[in-house]
Amino acid sequence: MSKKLESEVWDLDRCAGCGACVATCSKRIVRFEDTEHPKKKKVIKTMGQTSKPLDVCHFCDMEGFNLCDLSCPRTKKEWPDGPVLKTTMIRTKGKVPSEEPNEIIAYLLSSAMQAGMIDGVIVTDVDPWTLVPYPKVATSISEVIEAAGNQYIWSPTLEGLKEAIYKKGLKRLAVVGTPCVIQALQKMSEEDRNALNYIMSKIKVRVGLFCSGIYRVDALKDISRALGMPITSLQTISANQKGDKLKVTTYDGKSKEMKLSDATKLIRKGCGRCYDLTSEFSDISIGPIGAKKGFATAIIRTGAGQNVLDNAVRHATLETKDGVDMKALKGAKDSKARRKQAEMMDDLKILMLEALRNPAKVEEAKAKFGEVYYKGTGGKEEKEKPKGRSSCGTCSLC
Amino acid sequence: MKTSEPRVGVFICHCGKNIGGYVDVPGLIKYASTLPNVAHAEANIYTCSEDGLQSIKKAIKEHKLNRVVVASCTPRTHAKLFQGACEEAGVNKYLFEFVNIRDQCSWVHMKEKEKATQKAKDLVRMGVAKASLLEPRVELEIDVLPVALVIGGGVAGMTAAMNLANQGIQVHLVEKEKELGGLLRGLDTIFPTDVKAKDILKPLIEATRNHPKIKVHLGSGLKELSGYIGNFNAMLEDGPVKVGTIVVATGAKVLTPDGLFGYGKNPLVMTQLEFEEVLKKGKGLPKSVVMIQCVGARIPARSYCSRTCCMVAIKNAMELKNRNPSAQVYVLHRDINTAGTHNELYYDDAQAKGVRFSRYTLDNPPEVLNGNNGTRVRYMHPTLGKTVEIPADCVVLSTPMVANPDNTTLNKLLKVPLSQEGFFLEAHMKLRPVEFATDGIYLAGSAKWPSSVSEAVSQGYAAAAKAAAPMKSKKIKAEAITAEVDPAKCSGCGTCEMVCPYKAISLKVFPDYKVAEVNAVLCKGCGTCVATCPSRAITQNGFTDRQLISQIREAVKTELPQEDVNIIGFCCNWCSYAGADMAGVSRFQYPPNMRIIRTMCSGRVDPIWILDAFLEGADGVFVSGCHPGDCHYITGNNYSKERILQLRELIGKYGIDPRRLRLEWVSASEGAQFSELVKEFTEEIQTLGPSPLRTKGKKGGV
Repeated sequence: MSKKLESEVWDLDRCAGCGACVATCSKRIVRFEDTEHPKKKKVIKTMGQTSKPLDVCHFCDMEGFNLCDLSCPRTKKEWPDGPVLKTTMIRTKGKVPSEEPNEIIAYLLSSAMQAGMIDGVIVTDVDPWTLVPYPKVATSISEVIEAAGNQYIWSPTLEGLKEAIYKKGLKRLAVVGTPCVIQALQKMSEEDRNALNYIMSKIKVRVGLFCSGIYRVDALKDISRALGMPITSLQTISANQKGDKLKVTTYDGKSKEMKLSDATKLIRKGCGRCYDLTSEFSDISIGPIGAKKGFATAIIRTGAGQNVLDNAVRHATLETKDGVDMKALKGAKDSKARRKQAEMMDDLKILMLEALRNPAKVEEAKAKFGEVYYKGTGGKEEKEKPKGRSSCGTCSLC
Repeated sequence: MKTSEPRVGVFICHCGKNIGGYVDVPGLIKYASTLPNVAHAEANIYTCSEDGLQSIKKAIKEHKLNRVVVASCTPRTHAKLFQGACEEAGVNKYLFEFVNIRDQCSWVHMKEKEKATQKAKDLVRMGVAKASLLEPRVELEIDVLPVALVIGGGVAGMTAAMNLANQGIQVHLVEKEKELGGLLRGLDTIFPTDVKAKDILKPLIEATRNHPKIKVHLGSGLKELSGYIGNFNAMLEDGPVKVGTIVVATGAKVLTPDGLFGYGKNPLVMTQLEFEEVLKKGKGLPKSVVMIQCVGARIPARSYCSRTCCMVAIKNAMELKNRNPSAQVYVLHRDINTAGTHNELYYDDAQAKGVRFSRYTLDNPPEVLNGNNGTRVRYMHPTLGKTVEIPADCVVLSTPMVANPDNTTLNKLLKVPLSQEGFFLEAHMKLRPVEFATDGIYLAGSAKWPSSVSEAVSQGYAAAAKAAAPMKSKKIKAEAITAEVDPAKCSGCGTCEMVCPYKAISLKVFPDYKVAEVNAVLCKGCGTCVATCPSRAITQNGFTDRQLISQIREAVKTELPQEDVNIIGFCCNWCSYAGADMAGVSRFQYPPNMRIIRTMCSGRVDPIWILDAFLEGADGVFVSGCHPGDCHYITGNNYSKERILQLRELIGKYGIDPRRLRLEWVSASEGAQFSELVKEFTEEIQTLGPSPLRTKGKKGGV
């Protein structure tokens, strides 16, 4: 029920903004009004002279199919690591090879469309006038190629499912998205009562991006103001290789940099709790981390991922090469995985809130609270970390 | 020293009768000695006396104490004293915990001895629980630049500047006007010695201007300020300077009584300052003068006494009498304030010389009539019991000094508080009169409160002495209550960097990960980042989660009757806790249901504690900080507001009445407001009844 989303996700600033609840709400009352999280449309039931607000979510509760909850990536307690078949370096093939993940994905999926493997792609495009990204349903190769791709500025990708499936009637879809989008799809596919089958049966390929957080839509304004560049002149925004600066280039070839930490406040609040860096549940994940210069990294996770990649290599649009720096990739992954601590704190908060309402959970909440605050940081630590042992003098790892 | 086995010593102060008269101290001692980890408990008549300090030191040695809890007054004034005693006896000062059973207990629950004693027991138990978890800390040393900035070139500012410069310290003296001298420039003579103002001012200005160590910046002011004691970066209107300490001596303004008693319309009605101009000229002196005191002062809108105006009036009356003994001078007053030996003699002198003093009341003020037969003042004569009219060549209005309007911008730059009247608020009105709570910033003259020339001079000396101390010793120690990041938990999200007003915490970028890092010199120890961190990877030394949670849990364990309510209060050290102290000092009584937990900033208050408090059975939670815009840590209260209001909404959705959680702003001077708020909140919780989570018979406990 979206009541659960409201109190456990939206109110706690945990919303990923993937758009899954908007796409799946069977009553069509969940929608985005502002950027941080969706809202419920107020429904007024009028009978004769009487009008009364209608608790629409109540009906889903009765049926036991709360599709929004079943599709929300944030209401799953623990996300394990996903499968990995192979990790390889990848780039587009041609006179001017590109290592841009968005271009690689465009080539990958246009080849797949060429071969008839898919008939549509949900991808992010940017409104050329406002520069606000939006989910686009691309049904032709040219549309796939022309789409700007994900610029790490928020748009509710899965909202596009509505258009793709219900309006355009597409049957073999590819979805390109950040880890939260892929997690939502995974959660939807895990629903074992086939309630979401109508949607899930249409999705053939999930292409995941590497992501450590997405900027708010109005971040663009802030960045352009901070750098003194008009918003319409911005061409690309990307993090530098070292990952401490944000590089902004304009159409007239100028570029400026700002400290990435200055830009962190522009990241969506809901991203602070996500610990999936490489889209663990995609068919194929693509991102820059771990690859040598001129290449990106691709993690092939399923047979479907292998198929689309093989197809693109056959079409000579992409080429692969071994040599991914697994240590760097793992380091970055572990770094983001440390957000699990934040997720745990959120779970604790939700449990404690739940206990306020439900006396049966008080003991559990107290125990969990004690575990976090008394075992994690307290006296035990001193025993676990003995100080001044003789071997400590030579080691600097601690 | 091993910190794993706490041995706590509890010292309970009678404070004469201040505590002993309203709290059962022997019972409290008996109770304290039964608490876990307490190795020794004793009572002292005055713990802060030399005897009391000696007995702390003795007990530390005798009972091998490694934690000290003193239950007496407020840490805001006395913590340093007791910490010093601990250090002398070999206990690290960070192993000392203060329990306030005077300002927050005996003085505010004077008529409820039993409940006050119960509350004192709870407070002591909370203090012991926190003390058991304290850890020793080493303080960081900061170099102090031997350069001072004095803001304001009046007599107080110049005195401070001269004094600092004579000690060999480089001084930047900033004056917004084009010349030095301040309010004194407008005066003719100075009471009570009848010295000509210019005779004092001229040599002082010359000495200041020609001093090789003083650089005078005229027509300038402070535009921006960053840094901390020892290393302030001040941007003046005429360029940047780096200074170690700052003295604020911006003075005050004399109220212009527009529209009162015909001022502005009738040229014969003037202020004392304008009358001084007449006296300065010395020609055409009026033969009959009526002075009206307390014009615009001691009225409901401006309730304070400006203190200097009575003496100014008497001085000017005498001056006129000296020059023209036949002149008629009437002083119409509400009370004459001439405290002090010299001043009182001066008053007697004036009466002997024939200056007539007569009283009027606020509800029946004099009237200034302007008709065919000249200007006359009509008023109700108190002894004759009828209205009389006095002809006047000149009506002189004694108006109070009011706060400089610039104070409201300057206080934001300096991050120091203002009083309700708009004057600068010192750290403590009795014990720290010329310094601010913020280290390295001092205060002198009428910027603090209307003061006479001699007071301005002595405050200038005092502020200079205070400011010179850290510059002379070249190094100071920073309080070790800084934040610390656990890199194993930090995810490098950067939220902490966003909330830190001092840029003391920032992300350090490594090739494959990012981690937040604290600069301990810049960290002021507000703890806002700690409560902000989504992973709770940050701790604040001296105010760790465990320490504060243990206080909350002990507070909830209070033995109240089932139908009574218990309330947890979180107060920020600088405003609300000081406001609670003010309520205590003023003896404003309020219900004894709230147990106060001190944090440095309201931004430290973690919503999850509040959830824990409710789960443990608290009936209400009161969070209080500085007024918006007045936060001692600049923006900490913005974040507490955001969080607490969000939590308020959330608990409402989960079945707890949102009225049980209250966020209020209380400043250091608002003792009355504090007691009113607590009273009101307690009554509200009482009407709501005990929390639904409070189980019968048994409360709290893990």
